[in-house]
Amino acid sequence: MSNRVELESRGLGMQFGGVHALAGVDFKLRRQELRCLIGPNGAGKSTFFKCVCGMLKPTAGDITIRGQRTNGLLPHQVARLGIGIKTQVPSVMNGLTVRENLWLAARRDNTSAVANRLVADIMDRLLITDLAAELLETLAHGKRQLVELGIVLAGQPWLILLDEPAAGLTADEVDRMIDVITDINRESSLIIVEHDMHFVRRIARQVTVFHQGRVLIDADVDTVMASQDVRDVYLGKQV
Amino acid sequence: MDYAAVVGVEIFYAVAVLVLISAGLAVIFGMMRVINLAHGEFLTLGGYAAIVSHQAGVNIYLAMLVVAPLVVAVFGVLVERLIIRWLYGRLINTMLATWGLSLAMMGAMTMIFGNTTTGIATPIAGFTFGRYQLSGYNLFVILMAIVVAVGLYLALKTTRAGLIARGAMQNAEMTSAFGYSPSRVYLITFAAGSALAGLAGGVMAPLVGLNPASGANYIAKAFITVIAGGASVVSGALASAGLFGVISQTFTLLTTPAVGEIALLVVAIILLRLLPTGITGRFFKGRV
Amino acid sequence: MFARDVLPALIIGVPAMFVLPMLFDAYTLTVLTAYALLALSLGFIWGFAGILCFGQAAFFGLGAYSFAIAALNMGSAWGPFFIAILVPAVFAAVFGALLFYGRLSDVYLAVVTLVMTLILFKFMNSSAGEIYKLGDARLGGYNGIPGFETLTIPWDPGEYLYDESLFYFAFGLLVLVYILLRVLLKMPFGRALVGIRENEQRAELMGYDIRLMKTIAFSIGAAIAGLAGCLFANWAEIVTPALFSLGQSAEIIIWVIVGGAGTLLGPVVGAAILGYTKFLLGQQSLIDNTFVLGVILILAVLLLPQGIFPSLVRLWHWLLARLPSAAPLRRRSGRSRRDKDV
Repeated sequence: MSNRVELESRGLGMQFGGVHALAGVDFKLRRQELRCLIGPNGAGKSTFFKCVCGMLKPTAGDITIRGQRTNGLLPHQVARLGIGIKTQVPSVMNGLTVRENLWLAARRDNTSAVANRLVADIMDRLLITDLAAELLETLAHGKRQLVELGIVLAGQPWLILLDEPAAGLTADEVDRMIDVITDINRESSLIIVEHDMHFVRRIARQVTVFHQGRVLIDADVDTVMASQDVRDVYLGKQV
Repeated sequence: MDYAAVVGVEIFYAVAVLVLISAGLAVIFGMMRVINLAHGEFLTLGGYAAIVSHQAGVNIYLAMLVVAPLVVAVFGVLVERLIIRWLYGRLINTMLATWGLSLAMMGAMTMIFGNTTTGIATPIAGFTFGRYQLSGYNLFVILMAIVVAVGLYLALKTTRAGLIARGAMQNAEMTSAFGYSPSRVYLITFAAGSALAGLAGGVMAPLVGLNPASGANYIAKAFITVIAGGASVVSGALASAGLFGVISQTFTLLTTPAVGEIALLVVAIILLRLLPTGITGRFFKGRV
Repeated sequence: MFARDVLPALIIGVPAMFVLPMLFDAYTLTVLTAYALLALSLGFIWGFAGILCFGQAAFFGLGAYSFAIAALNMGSAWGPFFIAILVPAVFAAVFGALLFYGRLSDVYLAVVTLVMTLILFKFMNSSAGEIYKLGDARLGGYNGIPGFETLTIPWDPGEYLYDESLFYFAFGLLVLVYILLRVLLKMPFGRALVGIRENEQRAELMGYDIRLMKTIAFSIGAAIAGLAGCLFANWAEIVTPALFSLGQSAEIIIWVIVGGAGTLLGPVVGAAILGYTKFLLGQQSLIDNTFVLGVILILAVLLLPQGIFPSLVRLWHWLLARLPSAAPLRRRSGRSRRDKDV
């Protein structure tokens, strides 16, 4: 069963005025996969990401999550399907403590008792228990990234979308992030949008390259890295 | 036939009033992203300036068209320096502070002029049109609205100052890099908006009995016209003034003025619900 | 929850209820209590749900008018008491759904709620004619509706609640509503509301339906404002369109700002202090009341964006932190909720 398709897009298009940010994306994600989306600026990665999580409504094509068509659903409805989303700029509740942030995510689907336990577990797992009572606005960027990941985990998602999880992290923090992601991947599927090729090389198995609103290539990491097309795209040549 | 013409003039007049009373607000909102909730009191101040100076012997046209805008512009400069400039970029806080200003002005005018209604006679006599009586002053108001709209359009579109102002609204940093101080541009824009409010207040003074609370009669309509019009200063205000003027005047003619006003406000809420960014869209800052 | 939220309110509230009438006259205290409740309603939706309503007076007026109209038709006052809470709540639920499901931004929300108040104000003002009649109640235009039945002691229908007894009743309700809101804010729904205030997008990505939750919060706020309106109607024994006026809406906002948005106690204190100041100012004719209110609002926005109450708390913490042996204190409250836009 592990190769069952859990998320699929067919001919996905998104048009802003006259600009085609997505021009027919066909994409498949199988169970427990860890997929990296890469591509130069403006390739359509983030737009694709936003369409999947309901922040944008695609203008063409379909998205299917576990057999259910989801285009047109609102973000909270997509989230309730069991999908956790980490945005590019950490989206956290600044005036609340770390524990309160996680608790709100955990409590939506659970009783208070279960939520409390879940929050304690996740803080342990991410080694942020000592920050439990800190307000988010007082934390440094790296910690905020980690807390946001904690918020995502607290919703107990089976599919997690991460938008540039390594952005702005120090080398140590990147190591931690990779450990955490590998750990998460034991239970959940992951889609990671990332800019940092070093980071991608370290975690990726299967990579999808976006270019000009389309999927340029969809292959394992070594093939992608060796591809002349991919290099050309990153160097700005026309393919 | 005569009746149709009279109704036509009435509708034009309703639109013209909306254009006049909202022009100043439109400039300040469209160019500076500032919603001046004291706009109604700015108009009232203009009205008082016109009435008081006329009673002191100034020619009525001079009082309405020069003294009133000047007084309110000077007042606007003070307000911008003392209050508004500290709150740029914080729309809600500006709204709250100018709401406070509105109350303070209302109170101050009550202390100065007393809680009574004053007024001056219209300087233009009415005339008969077929079987109907038409107010000559209403035609003057329509003329003034056209002058304001065209003048504003030309000022923003063709003059150097208009270009700088539009530039500053699009990108304040860039403008300062070119050597223009955004702070001065804001000051002048606010003063210009205030002057327009003063002009409207002056022109309206002969039509309404003026009292310190008169501002409340204007603010809702001006506010709605500007917000519903969206960010494009002239075309937005014209479009929504046209729409609302027709609606309120139609309902007024069919029923009562109160119903006309309520109809205007209800339509405005519906419009905002359907087009939350106004008729001309909200994100085209600084367009004419 | 009981020890931290309910008990302090009772410890302060119950003695205050008996001490206050010894210091001030009950008539003034009653109207101040109604104002405090009104401030609490806006303090809740603005400070905790992040909904800035510029027309909270609309629900206040609706509550008062619903009470008066129902009391004239029913001839008794306890049924109308509940109607006065229900009507604004339902109205706000419908109106709120219209706004929140349409995703209006906070500025537009402020504008639309302001306009809604104006519509009600204009309508009530122009409702003098014979056709504006609901059952036995004539809306009465500018003059309002006088002469309706007021609240009585439930077990003694002949005995009206007025003066001191009306104050006890009103103050008891204020304490009750305060406690209920404190408890609500500790429950998952209340916490999620605060989460929405902090970051709507994140709350959505967590799976919370922010449109629904904001609508509910808006409706709760309107119910409380309606209750305040009902108390006001019982106190004044007349309802007039001035209840819906822009000035009234502004006053509520001033109470909350001065008291401090983001707390529940702040708005209550703000309303009491400013309401009393207004009463004192009303006794002289040198300085205009509206002028003072306006100046207070301007100064509060410019100088104390967090409100006087949280500012005092911060000053207190600041002083404590400078005492030699004081433990380090973490800033917890008093962030401005108003500066999030743009």
